[in-house]
Amino acid sequence: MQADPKLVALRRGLLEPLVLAAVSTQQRYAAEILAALHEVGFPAQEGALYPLLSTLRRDGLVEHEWRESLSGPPRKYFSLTDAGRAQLASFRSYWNELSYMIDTIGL
Amino acid sequence: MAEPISLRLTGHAAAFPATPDARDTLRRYLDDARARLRFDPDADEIVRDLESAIGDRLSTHDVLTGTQMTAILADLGPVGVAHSSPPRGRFLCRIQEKQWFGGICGGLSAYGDFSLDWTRTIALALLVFTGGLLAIPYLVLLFVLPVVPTFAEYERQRDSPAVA
Repeated sequence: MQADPKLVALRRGLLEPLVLAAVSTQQRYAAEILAALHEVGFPAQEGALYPLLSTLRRDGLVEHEWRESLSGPPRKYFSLTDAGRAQLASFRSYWNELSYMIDTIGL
Repeated sequence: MAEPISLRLTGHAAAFPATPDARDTLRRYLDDARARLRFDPDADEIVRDLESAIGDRLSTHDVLTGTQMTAILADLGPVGVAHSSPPRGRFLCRIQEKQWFGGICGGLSAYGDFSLDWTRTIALALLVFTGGLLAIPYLVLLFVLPVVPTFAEYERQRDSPAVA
């Protein structure tokens, strides 16, 4: 993964949209969200993820329900609220605008 | 080698055997997390979630060493504050704690990080040198400046994100 500070700064703002996307089609708990992020190659750690999830919940973008787990304590499974879905949609359309800009500006 | 102790973590019924060194390392990490999250209304819940996540990586059989704990915590990463708004920054106010007359010197000393005694000494000297005229701006400040109860509260407001 990129360690160039400029690229890292560019990437940082993507954590929130990616987390919203990760819980958009199925309920996931924190470790699964993290695994999904790693799977697509996005480096993220619990230290940043938990405060973000808590903020997203406070902002009404995600909600969670507790479920028992076989191997440990009960887990919070997160899913998107309607507001979260709208936020993700606007992230995606803005992302498309941005990528259109960088793709077309030099032509 | 130090006698192993039992580590209890939120959400986990079982205790984890660990060295005192591992426990101290964890304690420092959680204290640091609490300090970083001090303006987050869900700080307690986030710290509990972190504890629980740490427990998911521990074994109830093997004694956890300080080095192993350090590696686990490095993997968890530093606890980041999710809000992106900048702190409010310093502002002028009156501070009631230790006030003599309205707390204006207190506010000035907190604003500039000066010693309260020196601020008062200079204010009194200026009052004398101006033949009492300093009393006029002082009275104006007394009416216009917001009041903050304590120095600690001032620091909290200064370091909290600005209210939009």
